[in-house]
Amino acid sequence: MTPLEILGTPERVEAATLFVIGVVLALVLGQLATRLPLAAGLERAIRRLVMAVVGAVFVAASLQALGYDLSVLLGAAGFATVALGFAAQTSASNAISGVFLLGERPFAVGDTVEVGGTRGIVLSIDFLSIKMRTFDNIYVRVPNETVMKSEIRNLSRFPVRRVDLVIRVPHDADLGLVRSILLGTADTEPLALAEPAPQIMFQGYGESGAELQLSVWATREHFLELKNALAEAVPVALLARGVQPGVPVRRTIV
Amino acid sequence: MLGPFDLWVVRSGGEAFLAWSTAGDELRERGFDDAPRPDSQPALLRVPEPGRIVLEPRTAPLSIVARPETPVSLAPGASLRAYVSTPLWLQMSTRGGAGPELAVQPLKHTWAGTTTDGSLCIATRTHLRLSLERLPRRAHRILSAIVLRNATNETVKVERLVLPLPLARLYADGDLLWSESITLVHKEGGTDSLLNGPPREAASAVQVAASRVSSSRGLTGVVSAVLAGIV
Repeated sequence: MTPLEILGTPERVEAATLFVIGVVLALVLGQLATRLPLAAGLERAIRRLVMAVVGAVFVAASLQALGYDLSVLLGAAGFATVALGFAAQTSASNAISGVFLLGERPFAVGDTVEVGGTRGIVLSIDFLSIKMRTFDNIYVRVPNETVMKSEIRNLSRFPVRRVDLVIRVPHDADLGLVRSILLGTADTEPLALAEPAPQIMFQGYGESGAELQLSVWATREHFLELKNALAEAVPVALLARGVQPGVPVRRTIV
Repeated sequence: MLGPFDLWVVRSGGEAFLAWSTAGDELRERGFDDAPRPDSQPALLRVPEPGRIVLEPRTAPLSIVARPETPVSLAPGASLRAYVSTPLWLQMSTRGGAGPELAVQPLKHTWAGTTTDGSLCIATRTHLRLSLERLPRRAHRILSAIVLRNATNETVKVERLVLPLPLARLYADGDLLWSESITLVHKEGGTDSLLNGPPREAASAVQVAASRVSSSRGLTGVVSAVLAGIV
């Protein structure tokens, strides 16, 4: 049987042909779009956009081939657009934000980021939202508009990070001794980088004692491990040399 | 036993395990003999029997950062010959194939470059010495001869050097291990590293290991690291 015998009229054959061409072209162009030199994670969004545009054009052409008057449809679409415009303000805002986000590329799929108080690993960057997995394994969808308005902290951008640990010691503690203990502890931590060299920064005399900040660098992968290791090692090292780590104390004189 | 590195066989329930620790010196101070203690935390590797274990010497897998004892300045056109000793690695293999690669002493990593771009290196605690006699000679370390040439029109201060040891072949001369001699030429806009075979101090040395990577392309960040090394 020929297509004409199956579908009945030449118009239907033409419409079906256009539809099939549209589907094939949308798939092929969508696939080709993924090969563009884009940042990781953008492929899916670009593929969806290309497929939607190509698909819409060919569906309209198919309807026209079937004899539908698209000018009426377009006229109605004008009214619908106004109505939809009001209804889809948020989506449009998200889509536009998505375009800016894709252009600016503050992060990529797989990066650990903090957006609007949510910290997690980016699973996908789409036109309307980004999807993240938090460290307690919760799936979070953040609208692109929110992402654009928020401060974004990308924890994966640079290869090394600094661990800061604030230590309190009694007011009368020998700060020179404390300094040597802290630097010695950093030196013995296998995950602490030798350079950039660990630093001690005097923060001030607080209510509970003198406050010092120990800053040690680690590779991004070892940041948390080093932070935990230092938190354990520092009080032990101070006590071993007779320095009592400070605890919050409030004196009330009546 | 090789410096602070200990390697021993543990037999348990008819099975053989290879155990090793880089805390050898510390363990011996505490009365360690030939049996692993729970607190020594040795690493264990189940090995096939019967068979033999082969340990092959290797250079460091990353570039090494070394500092001179005191900062040295190089006048335009001047060159400097210096020596450094770096930790030895051992590639273990058993009848079943290649095993883990072990550093014979605990290591400290360091970063060469800026905090936004650079490469991970190994820091050597031994200083760069201008005289070979002043360098401790130990069987568990590799000696390297370095020539640094200033090909710029300005005096440069050498505070630290990043040595691309993964590019160097390894040689044995009697009880000592030597890496291929390394020449660093500091030019306007960059530093070139050249490898020149066994150093003249060990001219009769025989090669015991090939280089880990064949060219600087395989060594991430080596060029920028060398650049960062000359301040």
